[in-house]
Amino acid sequence: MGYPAELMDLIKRVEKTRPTRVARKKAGEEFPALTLEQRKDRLEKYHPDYRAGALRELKVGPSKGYALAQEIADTFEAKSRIDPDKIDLNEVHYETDVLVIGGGGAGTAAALLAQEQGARVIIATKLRHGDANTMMAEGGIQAATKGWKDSPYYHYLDVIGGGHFENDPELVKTMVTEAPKVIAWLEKLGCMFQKWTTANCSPSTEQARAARECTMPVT
Amino acid sequence: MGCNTCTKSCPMDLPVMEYISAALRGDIEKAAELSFPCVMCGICTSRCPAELPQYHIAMLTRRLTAKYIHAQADHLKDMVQRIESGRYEEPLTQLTKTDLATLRKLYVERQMEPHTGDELWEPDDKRFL
Repeated sequence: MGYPAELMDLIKRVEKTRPTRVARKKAGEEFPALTLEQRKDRLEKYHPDYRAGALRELKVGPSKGYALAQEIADTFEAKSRIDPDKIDLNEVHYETDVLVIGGGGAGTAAALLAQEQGARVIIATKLRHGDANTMMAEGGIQAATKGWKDSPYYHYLDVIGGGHFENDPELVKTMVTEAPKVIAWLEKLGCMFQKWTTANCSPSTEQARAARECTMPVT
Repeated sequence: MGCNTCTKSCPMDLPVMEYISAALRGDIEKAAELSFPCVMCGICTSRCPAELPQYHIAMLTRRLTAKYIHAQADHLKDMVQRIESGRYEEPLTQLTKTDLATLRKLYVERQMEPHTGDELWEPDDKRFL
């Protein structure tokens, strides 16, 4: 497989302890989440961004002074491949109301919404439409859609804790409030969420239902 | 055409010709299910002598299935309604103004859904649902 020897030993250790751990889980034992101190400790010891000299501050641009990984800073500060002397701005090739630069999840959503509002839109993206980080983000998408056990309130806490409490509170509030609406929008556009029905659900405080649809995002 | 060059070149080992056949006979949902793991690499299309865009056809069947064939999620409509009724406005605004120490406490002490819980698990504190 190509894993180094140390990892192979760890894999064997995980496999050896698996039956006991599965048994404990099945008996209802929950493994405690790492405390904030434990998380900080592990990050500082092992995360590449926390090494000395791993980040450097940008020298130019609207994010001047913001520290990024060396490789990303290199890209941001790189010279353009286009020679500005070769471009004649008087020669117009395309005209539009909105130009979206980057056609991943954010760019496509922005373009669709702009078009819904009546604007002419052009998306400029470096590869094909559908070749973007968004499509690779197979960890899932978070939104508090299951109202009997979840809500934007809990989502807010998850986001702000996950963000080491450094997030912009207004942005978090906006994100967790709009998230379920985004899922509904995606559903309308034809996103194939995994769905199943649960019969004989316990009634929610508002309505009793015989069957209920549950959604869970897939890849 | 049925030469199956697409099926043979698929890096995800998908039954490409099978989902195309399903689409041809109008079984959109079947085509969507069979093509679901498609990574949109486009090798099928690049090799097809009949110039079919298999991966685009597949994506269309998935969108059609999800939009028209699968049922819409009721609980999702519920949640959108709850949000638009303004129910979470007050508690969320409170959170944006909460001090760091209290936020940390709320975060660490929040009740989380157990991994072994089933879909119908409910938290003890229902104030913020």
